[in-house]
Amino acid sequence: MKMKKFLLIIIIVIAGLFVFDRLIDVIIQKTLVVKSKFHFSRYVTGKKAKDIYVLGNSRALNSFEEDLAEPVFHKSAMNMAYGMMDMQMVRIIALDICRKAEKQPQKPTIYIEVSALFSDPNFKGHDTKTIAILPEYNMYADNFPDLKEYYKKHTPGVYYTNLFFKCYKYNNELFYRNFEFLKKSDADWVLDEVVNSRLIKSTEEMKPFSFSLDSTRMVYMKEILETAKRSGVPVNLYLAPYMPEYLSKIQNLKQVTDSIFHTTGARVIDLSALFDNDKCFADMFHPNRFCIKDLMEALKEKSGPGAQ
Amino acid sequence: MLFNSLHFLIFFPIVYLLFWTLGAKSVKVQNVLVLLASYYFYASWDWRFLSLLIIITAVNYFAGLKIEESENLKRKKQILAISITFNLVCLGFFKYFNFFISSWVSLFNIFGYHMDAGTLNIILPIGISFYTFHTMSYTIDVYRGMIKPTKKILDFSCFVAFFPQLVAGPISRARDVLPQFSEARIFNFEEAMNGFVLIFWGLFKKLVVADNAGIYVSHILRAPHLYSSSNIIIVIFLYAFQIYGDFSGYSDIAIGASLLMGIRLMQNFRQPYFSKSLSEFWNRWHISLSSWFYDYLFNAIVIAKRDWGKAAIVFGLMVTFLTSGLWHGANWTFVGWGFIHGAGLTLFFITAGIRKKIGKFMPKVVNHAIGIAFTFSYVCFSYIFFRSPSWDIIMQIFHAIGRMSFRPFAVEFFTLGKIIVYISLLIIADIFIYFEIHKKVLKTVFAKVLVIILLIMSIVIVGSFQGNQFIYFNF
Repeated sequence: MKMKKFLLIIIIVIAGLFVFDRLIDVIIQKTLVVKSKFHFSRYVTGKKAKDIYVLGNSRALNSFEEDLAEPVFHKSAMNMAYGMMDMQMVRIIALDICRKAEKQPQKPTIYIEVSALFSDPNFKGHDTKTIAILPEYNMYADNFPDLKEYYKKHTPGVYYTNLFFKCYKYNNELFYRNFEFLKKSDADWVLDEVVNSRLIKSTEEMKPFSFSLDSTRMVYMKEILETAKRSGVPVNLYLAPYMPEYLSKIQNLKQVTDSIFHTTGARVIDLSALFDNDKCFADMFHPNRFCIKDLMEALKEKSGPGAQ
Repeated sequence: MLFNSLHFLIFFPIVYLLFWTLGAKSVKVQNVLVLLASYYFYASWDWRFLSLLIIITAVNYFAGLKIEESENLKRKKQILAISITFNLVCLGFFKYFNFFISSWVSLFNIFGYHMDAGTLNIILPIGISFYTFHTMSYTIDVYRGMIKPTKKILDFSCFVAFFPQLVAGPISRARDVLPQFSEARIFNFEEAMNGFVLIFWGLFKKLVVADNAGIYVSHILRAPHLYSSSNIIIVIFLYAFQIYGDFSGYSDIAIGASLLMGIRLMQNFRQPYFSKSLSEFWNRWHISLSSWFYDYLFNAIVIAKRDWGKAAIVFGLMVTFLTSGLWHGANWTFVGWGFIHGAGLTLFFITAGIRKKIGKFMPKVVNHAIGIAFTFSYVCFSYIFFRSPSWDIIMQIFHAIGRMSFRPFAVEFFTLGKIIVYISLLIIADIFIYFEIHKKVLKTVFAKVLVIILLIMSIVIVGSFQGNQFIYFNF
């Protein structure tokens, strides 16, 4: 009898979990996701499409500020980049933008910062290839069909847990970002710091090195460009500025951008040497707030017709 | 098979249902099921060491019987010595062989003799430190006449291999647990509910508190020389809660799973960070191990050296804690950790009178607050030795602290903030338990169900699912 009562309790717990889970999910969506100014949430809850989307890793995130870009480009813009964003995720978002654009008369332009294609030998641990796109973007799995498909194929654990627990999708950094961006705006991604002399000195002492292009990431890039072409969505590839001391150590930047052109047919807008002043950088490869307007203008000037 | 794995999530309900259906009316069937489940549980780590577990069980079982049969005290002593030696040889070979070889080589090298001794590629059988201590407590208690040896090898095998406590304790005493395997377990709703709550509370401690804190602890202590003093100090405090959440979480799951199967294991943690002195800390932290060392090593030393007076206690403390350090791992850093605790307890022991006199001049609350703060800080200091894989890292940590640089935390404040929130929840829960408020809160079945649901939801939303092993599995 008592055993039956205990089994009944287990059933009640499971049922309670089911109800609580759905309830919490709805509450989070209504009170957090809709109100948060975090760009992924704005993308999935926004009713109106933007004219410009920016994709890539932290170099894209910190090199394109929407508020400054909009008056320069005279278009609405959304920076969808994220720190260490993998090309797989760039592909998923780009394909989603293209899919939505097919139904729109006014096609958006996509800007992709290409350093997500490189492997930097100085930052092996931070190589975007080594960062699994899971479970960080799981919060938006319901909003990106390709992301959901990716989970089903590569991480069934995440996919099936999502089916049982709706709230499991909040178990990642992006969920916390939503809290953070209740007050902050996406303009706050742009860095205020100025690179310190110690970092400049250690960069000067670095040995010269070469980037390598990853073939898998190039396949994703090709797919993005082909899909975008079919959807009538212009794509501009660009390379954000590097701190001059760091840039001087890269031995094969020209070959790398040429190689991207030969493989994909898309020319890279090379802004790597745009700034010769260290004060424009927060560190070796992230421009800071002080020169970002010049960067926006240079990007606009060198962009293709999609940006016009 | 980790408690926090899908494997265990499937394994345990199956065992549980079989236990209470097939084994409902027969203690023998219950024990056969427990033993098969336990051997499967152990074999899932590494099936090759199952034979070691079985051999250790058999040797201690027969040793217990032989001790009882012998009427001659000398003979009893010999059998006890043989069984203890056997346990220690097993433990020593698998856990300490390479450590002692390399230590000898280093020692000879210091004196200019260049030795070149090879080490063996020995895999540490998981849980060996725990189950050898289980079995030794059994034979010692039989020798001391504290328990009668069991004639039922099935019951004894269940006691040694019982899966919830097999790989990381609590280190049960035969006198507490063995009799429970001789009687049929009758389903107790209250205990089952308590066990159910404990399992999820343990998982919360492990997955939400320990594993989230662990991400930053590992990140910074991998290269402590790169970080500021403030970062290192914060991380050591975080580690205190990581290891507490990890190990007490494991113990709660073990005790909870046992309760669901009708077996009561001893409590292993009682809010250790509220201890007002180091000796109180050791009555609240890893209680099953500290009481084991107290019963079988410290007491034995103090009795053997009783002529020494107070020096016997100091000697006993130092030997006990150096041994306890070595028990935790084959590394001199653990011996250093043991030394710090031995020395600290000695200091507490020597200054007991003075501290009592000073305490009288202070309000009780202030005295307790100082005691708690000092004890916690001292324990955190000892964690530097416990956590560091080498003396190089220990030196780097001290060097980093000595720089007295107070830069902000190396990760975003928001990221650190969420860990502080989880730790605060743990502390609040501990305050509830300390003042026994939880008994009032969890009085009804509804309250327990609600707590379970909230714990599971918290784990789902903020738990870390990186499949981290429990820290004490390494010991």
